[in-house]
Amino acid sequence: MPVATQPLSDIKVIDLTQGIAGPYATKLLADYGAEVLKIERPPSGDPARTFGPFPSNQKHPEKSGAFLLLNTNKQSIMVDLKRSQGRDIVRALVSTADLVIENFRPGVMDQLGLGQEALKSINSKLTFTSISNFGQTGPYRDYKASELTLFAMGGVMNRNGLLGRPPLKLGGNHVQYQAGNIAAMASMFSLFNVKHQDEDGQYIDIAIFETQAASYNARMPMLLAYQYTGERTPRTDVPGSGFGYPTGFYPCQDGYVNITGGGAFWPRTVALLGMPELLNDPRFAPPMGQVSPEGREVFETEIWIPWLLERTKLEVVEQCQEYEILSGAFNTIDEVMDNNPQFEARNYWQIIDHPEAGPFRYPGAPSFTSEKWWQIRSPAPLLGQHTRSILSSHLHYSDTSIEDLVLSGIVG
Amino acid sequence: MSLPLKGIRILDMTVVWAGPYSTMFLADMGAEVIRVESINVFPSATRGQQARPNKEAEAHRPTSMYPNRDPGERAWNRSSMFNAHSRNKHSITINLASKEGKNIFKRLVEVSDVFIENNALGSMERLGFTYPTLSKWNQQLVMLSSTGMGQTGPWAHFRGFGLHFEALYGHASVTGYPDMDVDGVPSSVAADAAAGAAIAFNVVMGLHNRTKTGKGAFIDLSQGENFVPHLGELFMDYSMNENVAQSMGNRDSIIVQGCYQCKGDDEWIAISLTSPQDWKTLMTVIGATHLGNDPKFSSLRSMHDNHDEIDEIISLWTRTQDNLEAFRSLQAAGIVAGPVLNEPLAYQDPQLQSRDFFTEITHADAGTHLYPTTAFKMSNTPFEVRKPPVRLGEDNDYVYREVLKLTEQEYDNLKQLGQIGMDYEENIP
Repeated sequence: MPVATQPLSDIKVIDLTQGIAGPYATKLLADYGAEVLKIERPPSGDPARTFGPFPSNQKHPEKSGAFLLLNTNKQSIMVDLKRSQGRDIVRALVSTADLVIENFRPGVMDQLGLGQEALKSINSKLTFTSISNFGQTGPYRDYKASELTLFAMGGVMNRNGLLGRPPLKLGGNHVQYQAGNIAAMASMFSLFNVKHQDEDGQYIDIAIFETQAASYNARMPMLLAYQYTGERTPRTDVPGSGFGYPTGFYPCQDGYVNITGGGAFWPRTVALLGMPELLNDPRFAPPMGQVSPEGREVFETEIWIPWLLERTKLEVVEQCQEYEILSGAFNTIDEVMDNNPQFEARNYWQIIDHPEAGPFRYPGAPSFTSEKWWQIRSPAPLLGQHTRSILSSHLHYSDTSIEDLVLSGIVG
Repeated sequence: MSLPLKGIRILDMTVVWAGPYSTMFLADMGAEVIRVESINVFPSATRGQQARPNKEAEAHRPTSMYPNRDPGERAWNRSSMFNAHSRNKHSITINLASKEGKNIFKRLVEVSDVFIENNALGSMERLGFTYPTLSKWNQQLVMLSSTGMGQTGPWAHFRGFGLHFEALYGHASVTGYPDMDVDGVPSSVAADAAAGAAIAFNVVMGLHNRTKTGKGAFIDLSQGENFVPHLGELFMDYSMNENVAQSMGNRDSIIVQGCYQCKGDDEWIAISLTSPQDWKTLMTVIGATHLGNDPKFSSLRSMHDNHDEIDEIISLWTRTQDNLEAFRSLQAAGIVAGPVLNEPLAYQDPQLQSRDFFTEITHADAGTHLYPTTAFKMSNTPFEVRKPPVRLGEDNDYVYREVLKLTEQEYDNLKQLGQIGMDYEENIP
């Protein structure tokens, strides 16, 4: 049950999403207190149950790491939406809900009779959020997509990677997670509109493509820069390269660091190196020295990299930070989890015990408040774990009618 | 037409990208977002890198953020990195280091609902604007501070942009060419975008909570902690199996995919094959049915085993193709494909055009251009530019006279102190 001190404890969500983007949106809502009823389809439920990673690489529908992470604090009800009695259950749940969120192919909800108009006639205060690859309208509406193609089309892939080699996607599935992040935010806007301005619920159309095209992962400013200059962003462009140098990744004793210490920060870099004579050295000094490729080459090979190679990445970053130079160490996934005094001090990682998968460390709260708005109340649900309890407590179905629905395969 | 945040006033002391991206969404929703700026200090990387960039150096940079590479008279109003997010916002100037400035800020807090800032740790403490103080001035205030690493802990003071922190929290280690070291790693700032949406979400959640409890809140948002779940499966894999993910380039552990060069100047297409049937279909489209039937490619597993060969076969074809034409013919055949849309291609894209993704804005100092709009569509709150990207100090009169209701004498006093204006002090480079 939601905890009263959580900010979304009064919000009820009917979750018809699967995969990553939609479930991440409803995870955010659930983790901040919303009651999220996750509708899963028979017989196997959310395909994320097959994504993995699995403990010891043994496939198991209740042990997929992606599913376990993305579905904390939710309740699972397995309902066959192809059957009219299954759709009746969804309609009944929707009548008292604040938000429906779905990521079927555009048109599917309408075909099921569960489209925006149909559900609005049941509950005018309902916010209805759809997530799709390209949106509910337009010539690409029915086109297929992947994490890779959505970043290629929507995001800044055009400037990622080296000339002569393929443009690069980002590691992991950020594009889909970010679409979920945007969906949670936009849904919250409408929920606020309903709860505090007494307006009707809104229909929200999220195109993952557009969540990238309007992303401040450099895409919006780069799209506008093209309008301003008429120039395409070159490959390998570094955001902040207007800072001159040093900028970007550099080697050090035990790995790599990323540092932005040029341009306006040049005096800080000079102070860090303890070489005041460089401050106004015309080879390096702003403005022209800082845009000189020769100056950069000489500075990096003769001064900067030799200095870095005498230090570990943590030493470099700590010293840079002392001089207020923007910097970060290049860490691998294990270093982030095991060798990270910062996350440790903030109790970031959460140990969540799941009845089938067992206890593991999970990424924790995206924000911190002293009142503990973000809480893990329950691990990801087993498939259909809450079918009976939802039918009886939310919809007041009798035990015998639930039994009938189970026997006829409408719920499970 | 409904503006969900109408009547909500937000004090915005955000810098660089993550914070301003959040207030873009909030301003679009109808909140009165007031950027509290100063003509006495130029915050780097917000309204451009410098107040008065050298025009000649600007011509030599790899890229420029200014119209026609010209910083112009007021460069701070002409930077694309700022103007892309700053529609619908207000801007005032005040020197917060001064006694008068602090008093003005107190009066602003008293009549506002939200305060958002993402400055380096300690900035608010030096100004005397920590939450315990502000909440005395306004018990209902929702305050959000965002930094790379959060407000507490041994690394809380670390300064950086998203790209530094993304290296620190592992994103860089799983991005890049698998056969290279960091040389090919893109400088991603995905964590800024993630934080922007999360800040807006948290703030509105705080406003919702306020109506239930009667109290405001302080929200500490670490960009790192907010971004780590975006790499969730990779962390779960380490957690479960001690498996340390490495970069796979453009490849995937389940499906078979890549990004392939096409005709033209650095033009590319991304293609994902989700099954052996996709491979067969693709080979039919390119007229190589015999390869479609080759047992080497008869399962996803064997396709992975022969991934290099698949990439080679696809590349040979794409090199002769226009990427937009190939995209349409592959989609028509049911193949997951998408062209790499560089900026000119994005502006010509039929989908973005049909959904009015770009809108024309005329800005007094930057001219008339097409701007990207926003990341979602709401039925009763259509995207609207009520105010062009905000110029430094352009709302001083409105805020000081109508919001704070200063007497003319008080307002004149601030002007005489050199705190009110639309130009940075002349000695600021």
